[in-house]
Amino acid sequence: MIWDVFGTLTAVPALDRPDLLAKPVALALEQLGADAALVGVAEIDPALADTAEFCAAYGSPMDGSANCVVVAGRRGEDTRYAACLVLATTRADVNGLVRRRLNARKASFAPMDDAVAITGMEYGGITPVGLPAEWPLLVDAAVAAAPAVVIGSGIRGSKLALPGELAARLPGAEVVEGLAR
Amino acid sequence: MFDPKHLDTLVLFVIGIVSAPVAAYAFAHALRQRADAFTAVGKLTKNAWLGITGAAVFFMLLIPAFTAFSLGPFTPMFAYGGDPNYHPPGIMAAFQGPGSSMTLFWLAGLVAVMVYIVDVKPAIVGVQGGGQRY
Repeated sequence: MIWDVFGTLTAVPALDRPDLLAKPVALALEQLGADAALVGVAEIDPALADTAEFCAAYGSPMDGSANCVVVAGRRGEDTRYAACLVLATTRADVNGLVRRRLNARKASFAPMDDAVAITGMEYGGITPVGLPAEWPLLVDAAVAAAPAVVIGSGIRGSKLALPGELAARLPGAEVVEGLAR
Repeated sequence: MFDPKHLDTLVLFVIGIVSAPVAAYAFAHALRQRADAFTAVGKLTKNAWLGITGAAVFFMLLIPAFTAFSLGPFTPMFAYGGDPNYHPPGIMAAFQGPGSSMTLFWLAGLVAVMVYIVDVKPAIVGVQGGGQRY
């Protein structure tokens, strides 16, 4: 079962519990059509939203979680954003692949205040589902190959789980080999 | 206190004093950074740099301590003009790290700390939007 990746938590179809989703996330899930049925949601303690703590508390494997990192690429006055989805056991190569993909001179983690303001999601709950349409979503090949991954839900009080192959098909998603190290 | 003939001793003495806090600063700085910043700029991992700078701090404290407690085979000869009967006062001996028999480790630690400060630190501060304090 896909949602077994939640460990001890019990998941329900995400669209059955819109109260556990940030607004842009619920909207994006509705637009997924039939695929939305593959996405599960589980309520968690908001204090345990950090991936390492979440995995330890609920018995979910670290390589079954994916972190969503928002990167800001700058060239002169121009700032472009991209989201990277990498397994929690790995880290994104921001200054290499992501910077080149954004065609930026300088790439950095987006300041959390900016990321939160632009995405309409909570700090620590940013997820690849429901990001601004113009942002590329770079998905590491290992995420795309995973049977299931836990990601954020836009709020700290819950998590989503979905098949890696669906993460790789989200709007704007590109599978990138070697994104994570 | 310092004979001008032994200016090299004075220089090493000063480097010996300054290096330990500098290494400690590098370690503390590495400790406060988010782990994925290191990978993001293509450097060694956070744990690797904690290990490297931590080991540097260890040697920079260990060597003075070692020197202070073993004014014998480990006391550097150059420090007192080759006079085998001269024993430097404790505090001076304590900071004669560069002259001790473990100079190699001390030097390696110093180089590693310098690499961290001039290369790794600016890169990881930059990738975090420069928003990191100190």
